[in-house]
Amino acid sequence: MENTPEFKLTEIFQLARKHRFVGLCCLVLCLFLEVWFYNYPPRGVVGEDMLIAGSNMGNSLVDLNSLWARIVNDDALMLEIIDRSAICKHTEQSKRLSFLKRSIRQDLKFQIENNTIVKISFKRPASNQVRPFLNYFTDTFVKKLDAIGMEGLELRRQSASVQFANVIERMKFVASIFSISGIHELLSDYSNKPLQTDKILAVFQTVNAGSNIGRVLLGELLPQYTAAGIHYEKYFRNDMQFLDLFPRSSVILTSRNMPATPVQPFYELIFILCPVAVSLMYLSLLIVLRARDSQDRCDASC
Amino acid sequence: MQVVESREDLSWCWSAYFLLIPFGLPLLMGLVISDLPALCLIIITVIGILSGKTITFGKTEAWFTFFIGCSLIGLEILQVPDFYLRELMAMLFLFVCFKITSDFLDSRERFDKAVVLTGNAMAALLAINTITVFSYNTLAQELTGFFFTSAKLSWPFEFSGQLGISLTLLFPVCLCSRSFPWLQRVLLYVMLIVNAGAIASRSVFWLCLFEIIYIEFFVYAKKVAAHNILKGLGLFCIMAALIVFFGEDFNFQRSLGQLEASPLLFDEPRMMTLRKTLQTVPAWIQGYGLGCFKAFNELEIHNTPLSILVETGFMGFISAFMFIVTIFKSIWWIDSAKHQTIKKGLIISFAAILFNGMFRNLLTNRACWFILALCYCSRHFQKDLATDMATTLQKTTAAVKTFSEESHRIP
Repeated sequence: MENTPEFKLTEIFQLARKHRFVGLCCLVLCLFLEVWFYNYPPRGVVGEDMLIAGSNMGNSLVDLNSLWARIVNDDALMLEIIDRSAICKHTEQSKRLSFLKRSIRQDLKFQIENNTIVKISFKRPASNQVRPFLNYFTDTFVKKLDAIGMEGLELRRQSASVQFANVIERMKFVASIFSISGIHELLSDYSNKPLQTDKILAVFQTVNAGSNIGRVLLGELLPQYTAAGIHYEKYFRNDMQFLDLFPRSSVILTSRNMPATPVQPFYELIFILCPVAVSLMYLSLLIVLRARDSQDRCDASC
Repeated sequence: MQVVESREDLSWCWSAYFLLIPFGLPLLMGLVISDLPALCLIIITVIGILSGKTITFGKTEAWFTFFIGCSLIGLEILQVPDFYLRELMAMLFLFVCFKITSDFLDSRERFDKAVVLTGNAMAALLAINTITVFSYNTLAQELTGFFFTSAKLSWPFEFSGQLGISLTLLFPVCLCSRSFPWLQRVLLYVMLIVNAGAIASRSVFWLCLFEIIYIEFFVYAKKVAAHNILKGLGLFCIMAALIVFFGEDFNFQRSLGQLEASPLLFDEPRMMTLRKTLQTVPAWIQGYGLGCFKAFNELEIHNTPLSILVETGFMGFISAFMFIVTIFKSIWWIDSAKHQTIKKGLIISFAAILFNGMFRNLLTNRACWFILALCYCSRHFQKDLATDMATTLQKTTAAVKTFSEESHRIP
């Protein structure tokens, strides 16, 4: 005979009836874990915002890495966003700063794809803490991005405009010296008209032979006119299909109500694993209690 | 396949199982050669259960079940389920082997036969490897290259560490299962030291030395001072001869403690791994999930308790600790009068598990689970406390009765 008390698995139902309190405790534990993991999935939930940064035909107007570093490391701005989103319950400045450092900065990430598409992701333990902060943060980021981007765009527009005007004035000058008619009309009010290269070439076909030098000089200026015109149109034309892909001001693609998703891919499995885990623990506790009972009985009989 | 009915006989399947325990030749899908008879035995057991045979459960099984339960709520299981499932399946397989082995070895005869088979297989392995090491250092270096991994002796395992663990765990229990004449013992010691030296592991080498000294002075002890002094001198001479012979060999030097360039302790890669592991303290409440730590940290924790703590959390650690405690209790309560030598052997092997666990992850080590099964089956060789108590009680009652009768007779 052995001293280690052992039992058969068929006794398990008797034991379960005997130790009801243990069963109740395990049931409560199981429910608690289910609710806990429902609210706080393992490794948390992540919310993502996709946005297209304002650009000029795909050339970003702002250095996104620098802007990100500028915003994320700005304590005052970040605290303002935290306050607006109301995800920090602390009122003391030191605790709020600590929260910012430990919980926000570590979980806030961004990624650039194809120069202009920006993915901002924010991870939190619970899903109700993600959207309020992420929406405010993305809005602030876009606001700053657009403000700086517009400044850059304006400068570039001025530069393109000056270059184009310069070429046009030179062409007008040549046309007036050599009395080439029709050019002046084509080049007037250039900002509201598309490029007139074809029409200018047509004018060349019609002018008389006396203005050959003028035609040569205008011909020399024509490539510059076309290049400067294309450059100008990139900044000023608003009817291009290309702008859908590379808009000049930023566009947030993700809906503001897009729910956060669990970080782990097979998250739903946890709702099966938890009861299985607690059942195994319950079974093991019953075996241990059975062993203890039989030990006690043995001690009592002895 | 025939199921053994007699308590003394071993079927071919059990014999193959015990014979192949020291051999870890890799097959497919992480299986090794010794798993084949184990699979047959599992099938036989399942058939037995389906046909009405009952199996019993004790505290040890309960704590293992609790451990598996804790591992199921790991943090990263859902992220890398493949890592978890692989580790879980390996552990469950080894636990089933542990359970059927410990249930099967319910008599001393079976136990002795099993240990003799494993011991003989281990002696054969030691002999083959010793010949290989001598050949490697002298003549046929190219022919024996197959036995080495990264210039360290590893056959029949994939890595030298596994061979080291297997030897250090199986050696004491095999040597203590029966009485060996001194010449055989000396031969076995020499072979063990040569093997341990070629494995190039400091922990294995020093543990082997400790085991030899312990076995010689405590298991095969004689209360004659001159005899013991001679024994000590003999061991010293063997060691000195081996060091002289293998002194130039780097593996042997490393086994003795020599390191090439790195400082001795704190900058060792393993210490750095331990430090990195300790930095993941917040995850210990829940645990990563069995086998999931290495998926995220690209490093393996060479320490079993820490690995359990990190991968299954505090609850898992406590259940694993209780599992080990219940097994240790079954050795501790062995009837010392009848099984003195084997008790010592099991305790040394058990201590070797604990020692090796400090330097390696033993959760899925076959030799370790086999030794635990041998330790756990010793619950069948315990003192029958209940019978003893009842007998004592009966004797006392009879004595009291007699005394009271005698006292009544006295006028």
